[in-house]
Amino acid sequence: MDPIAQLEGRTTFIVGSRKNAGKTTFLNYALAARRRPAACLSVGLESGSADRVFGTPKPRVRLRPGDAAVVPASALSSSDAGLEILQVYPTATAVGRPALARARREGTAEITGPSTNSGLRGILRDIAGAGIDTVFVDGAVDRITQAAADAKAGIVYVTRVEPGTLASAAEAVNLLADAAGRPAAPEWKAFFAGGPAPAEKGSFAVRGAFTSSRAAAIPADARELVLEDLTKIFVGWREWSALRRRVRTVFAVRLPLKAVAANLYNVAPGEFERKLTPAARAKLVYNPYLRK
Amino acid sequence: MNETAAKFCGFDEFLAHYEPLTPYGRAEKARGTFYASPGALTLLYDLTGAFVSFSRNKAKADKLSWHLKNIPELPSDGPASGPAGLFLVHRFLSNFKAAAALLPAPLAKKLGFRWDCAGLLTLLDKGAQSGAFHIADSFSPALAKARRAIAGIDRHLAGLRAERLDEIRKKSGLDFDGLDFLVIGEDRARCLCGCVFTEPYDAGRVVAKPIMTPAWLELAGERERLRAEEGREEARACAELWAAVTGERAALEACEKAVELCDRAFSRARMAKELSLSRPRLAPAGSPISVEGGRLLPLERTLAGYGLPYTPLDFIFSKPLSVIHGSNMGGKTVVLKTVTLLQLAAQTGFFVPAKKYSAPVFAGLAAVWGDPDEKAEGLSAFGLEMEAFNRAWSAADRPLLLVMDEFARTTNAAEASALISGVLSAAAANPNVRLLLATHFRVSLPGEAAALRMRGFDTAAFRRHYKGKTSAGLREKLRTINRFMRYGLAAEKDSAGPADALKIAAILGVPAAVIRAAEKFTEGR
Repeated sequence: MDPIAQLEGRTTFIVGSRKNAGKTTFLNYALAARRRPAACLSVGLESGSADRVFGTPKPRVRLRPGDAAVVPASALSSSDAGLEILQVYPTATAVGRPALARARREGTAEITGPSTNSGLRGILRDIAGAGIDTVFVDGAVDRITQAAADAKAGIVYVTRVEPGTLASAAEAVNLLADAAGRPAAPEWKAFFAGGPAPAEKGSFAVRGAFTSSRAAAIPADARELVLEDLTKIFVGWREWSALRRRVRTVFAVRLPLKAVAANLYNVAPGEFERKLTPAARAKLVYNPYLRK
Repeated sequence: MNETAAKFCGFDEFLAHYEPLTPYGRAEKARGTFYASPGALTLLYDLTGAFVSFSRNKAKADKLSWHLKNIPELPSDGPASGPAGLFLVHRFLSNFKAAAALLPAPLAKKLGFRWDCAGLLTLLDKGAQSGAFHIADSFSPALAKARRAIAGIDRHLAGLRAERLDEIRKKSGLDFDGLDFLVIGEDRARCLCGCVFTEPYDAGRVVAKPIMTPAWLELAGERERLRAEEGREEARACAELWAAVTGERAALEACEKAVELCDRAFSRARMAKELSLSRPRLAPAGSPISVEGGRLLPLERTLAGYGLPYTPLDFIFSKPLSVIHGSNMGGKTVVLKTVTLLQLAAQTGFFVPAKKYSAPVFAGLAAVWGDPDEKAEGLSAFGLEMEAFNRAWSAADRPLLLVMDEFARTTNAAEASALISGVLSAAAANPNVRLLLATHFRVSLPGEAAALRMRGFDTAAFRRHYKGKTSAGLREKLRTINRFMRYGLAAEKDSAGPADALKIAAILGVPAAVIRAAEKFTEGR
């Protein structure tokens, strides 16, 4: 599987199992390997403002001429990519106004993003308006729902696997792969936007986070569980798989899982793969920088 | 004070249709300016009317909308906003110029839409292409020179890097293939001394980065020096451009004001078309408040949701004080809410939801009513209402439209009537106060007050229509009441007034035994 070719022509959220999972490294790999012009930005505190606010140097991305990035306006001049400004957004983040800029020569730039979901929508619209259809978003999973409603979005999940976290990392991947494979139920979109539920017998829909306590409230005669999307799952793999045996699960918005990028530290590939379901193994790619 | 009136009449729902296109218009909407000056209101109405005419040419109106939507707020931090700020100034001016070209000359003049920044825009245009902006080579020969040198070095560096990576690949089989680093086994890295620089990755692997040749390193250093020079030249050009922008500050501020006024009037005109609003007439102080075909928009929408027709209201309040009586569900509150909505809309510069509306301009509006959201520790509903009245009355030192719905309804009838008499007497003595009061209580009125009543339920028509039939379901009951309720105001001729409450209660399904007993009680009295 070429993990990058399938990301071209769509918006990809690169989300991580935790801080320092390797999201930005994967983003730079994607930028190096793709063939079409791309745009990138980050969302969420971890990858956005916090690093600058607390003084940690922010990772930079490498751009080619014609690529676009959302850059803190205050950092435009520190980029060596000869950036031209396409838009400046009024919403101030902790690091100042974000600006959408296009590289006029190869170079690096610091990336940032919007502070609101509507801001994210506006930026994705402007990127499309600039003629770029491959977008990489480095960051938070909780922002995906909003973008998925408008854009052809997919997810790359980056996980850092160490001996101490092997089991939990595998379970998280299994859960994500299973949920991403569930069918879409778009007729429920209006319900999750605050509208009435479709008249479907035996369906039990949960707005917001799906937690253990909400799982316990599923009626015994329910045949189908409807959630907004997979980012709303807040139960573990075991609880989820037990539930899946009991009821059919569907999502109003389906988020395709394009790849699971595993960065193994002192863990052999076979050791990790043995703990994965076939669905999870099918999505697995290893650290793209790894050579024998 | 105006907030109570806004809440009473559901003004937010009206205001939700007002969608300014620029940050300046949106800021004005957030401020919610209440105009007490007839001059300011007349100007806004004139401009709105002019834009109503302008918008008949849809193509031009669409173009104006597009340019206004693309006008950003000029950066408040000036030169500190750097190239991003210059981008905003350029975008502002480009769209201002295009909008100015669309406006008819007399309208542009009234708005203050003067195009005085041609020189500045021409200067900034040197860095603009297809809506994008950067500190272009044309701003500074030294900048252009540095960039040409960087471009040459970049080509040279790319060639040297490719040669070096090819050499490493041939020597070690390690193919970096456009990547900055690779993760390889520690054992393998040991054999690559001189080719790669390593850092630990995990117990058995390292991160390997190619070691470049001295020629590459020297050239990369030269690039760094040129980059620093480019940065200095960019900063110099940016400062010069900002000096030019700052020199036009007065003209830019005038442009901002014109944009705000244009947006306010143009957005109000779009709203007028969408909601079929009409221009209010400002009457001299003390003139009647006159309404023809007034619509309470939130109620109109609610009734439409039930599939019920809405009856527009006609009424005139001629005297300083108006006391309205009438049936339950007969529309007293609707009348008060309608006049509050119309007056508030008119005094915030909007056209109004009525065929015709004429009223004086007040310094303030206040509503005293049983606000269900109002809460204060230790105060009962009665206490809160008195507190609301005190707040409203404190503004009666200037012309005040005071609307009071069912005042003192939470206390006993005798004391409520006494309080209402007190309010009427104080209002009659204060020439600033225009009072509209709806109540079920009967009090003797001062000479300055008009007694009005809602025309109420048309019992005869109801009996004719529903002879032998029953209605069921809330929607059907509301339909029934709505159909036979005459939502008009008439001068009250006797003190007894209509007694529709029992009929309405019966329609709403109160048990027949209760209704019969109530009727008996009424007859007994």
